[in-house]
Amino acid sequence: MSAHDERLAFIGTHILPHEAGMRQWLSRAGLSPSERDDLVQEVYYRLLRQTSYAHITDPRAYLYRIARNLMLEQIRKNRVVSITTVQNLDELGRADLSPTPEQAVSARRELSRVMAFIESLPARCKAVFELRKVHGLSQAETAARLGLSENVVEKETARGLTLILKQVAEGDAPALVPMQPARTRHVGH
Amino acid sequence: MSAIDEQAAAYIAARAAGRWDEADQAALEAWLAADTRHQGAFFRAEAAWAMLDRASVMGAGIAADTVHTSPFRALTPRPPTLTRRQWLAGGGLIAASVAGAALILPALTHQRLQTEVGELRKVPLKDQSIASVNTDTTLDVALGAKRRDIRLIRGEAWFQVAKDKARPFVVEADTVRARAVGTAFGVRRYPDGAEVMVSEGVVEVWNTQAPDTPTRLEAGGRIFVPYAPQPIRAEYAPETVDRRLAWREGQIALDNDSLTHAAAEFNRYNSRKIVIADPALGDEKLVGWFRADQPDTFARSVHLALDVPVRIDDTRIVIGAE
Repeated sequence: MSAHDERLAFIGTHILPHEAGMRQWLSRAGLSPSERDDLVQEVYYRLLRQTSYAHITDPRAYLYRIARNLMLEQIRKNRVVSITTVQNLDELGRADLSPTPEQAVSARRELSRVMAFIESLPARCKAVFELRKVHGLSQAETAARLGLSENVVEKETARGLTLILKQVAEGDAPALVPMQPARTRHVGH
Repeated sequence: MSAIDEQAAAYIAARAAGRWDEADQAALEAWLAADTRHQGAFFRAEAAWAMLDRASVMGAGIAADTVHTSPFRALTPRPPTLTRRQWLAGGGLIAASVAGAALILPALTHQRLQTEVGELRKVPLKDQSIASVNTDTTLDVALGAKRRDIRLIRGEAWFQVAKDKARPFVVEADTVRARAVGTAFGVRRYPDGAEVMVSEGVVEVWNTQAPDTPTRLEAGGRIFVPYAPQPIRAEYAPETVDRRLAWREGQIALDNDSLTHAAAEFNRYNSRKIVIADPALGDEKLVGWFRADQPDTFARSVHLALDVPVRIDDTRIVIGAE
């Protein structure tokens, strides 16, 4: 496995499952859908720029911290704050992000997640993904097997990947439990 | 999920098609170089594509043509359902719940309306008009047969005026007058003059000490009229009018307003005052919507936005190093 493949595997295993929860949090923090999409892309860009993931002990907390820092940078740049942004940044600062037992990653869970993604696709898309991903056929072989043109197979591949990415974005991740703000808080330096 | 994400998926599919050449690679690299968001979206799509390879263990040793249905039941993830509270926090309008919220009184022809600091009241008048009375305000209402007279003694109010051509609705603030027939407008008193803002219809504004004719103000218009007679000019600024009337929902809206202005606004509504300890911060500009009764939340926002120390206790809120 190349270094880049290892990084992709880390993202697939430890980051993608938490993306939906992060998106929910960003929505609650007052971001519009398009602002949220932009910020999520920037989050992945930060992850891409990160040379090594060896130091990451808690991927979910790490992911949320990147999102929080990006939001703070934008707030400081644009001087735009809303009450919901602040409360959620506070909430995130205090949230208990310790890994829960059911979040432990197992090969079996990973596999059933991947199979569920493929299962959920529309019929022709699903057939393409089963041949390509379960059976490892090339696009040309897949096209021949299904009696489709290669262009159609490529289009179905892009469509299926987009649908799976949508599920990654909307998946049923556990949301953060907001905490009550303390009566008196000393913030600052 | 955006158009960028779909574009990223299309590139991944194209690259995996086995027909990828140098021109395709150059096009992809140009797209990636154009925007860091493209790079992030591509990295994400690439990771998802690689993750799907794990399905290959299911097909190990099985010829593709013997497989018809997967032994796995589809476990389609449910889309998240936001609770009502989360939905509200995510942008639903938060109704005012300031101390002593909407108190409905019997409608009177003559009455004095008074609010305490932090109090917000919505009062139906005998003529079917409605007066929204802001914090720390005093006004007298006198509904006569020929005229409807409102005297704004201090503070600020907004009126939804019931249409009655025979009885003009006139608000008096010192020497300033605002007259309407059927419309919606707000009047706020300052030490040196009064501000009039129109939400609907037309309002005439003048100064009793000034010889010039009344100024017509239409919806979205606002004007500041000094008590001392001098020429006045209205401006058309509907967004500003909306923002400055946000108090009716118990909110304060800032749009590039200075920290000094923002602190003064919050201090109108709260006994726990905001103090700007570092004068250098006074001119810092801010944008945002806040609850008027939550100066502490505002102060935390300032801490985040300006990166300055903020100290909050039960009696005051200090922004900046003392």
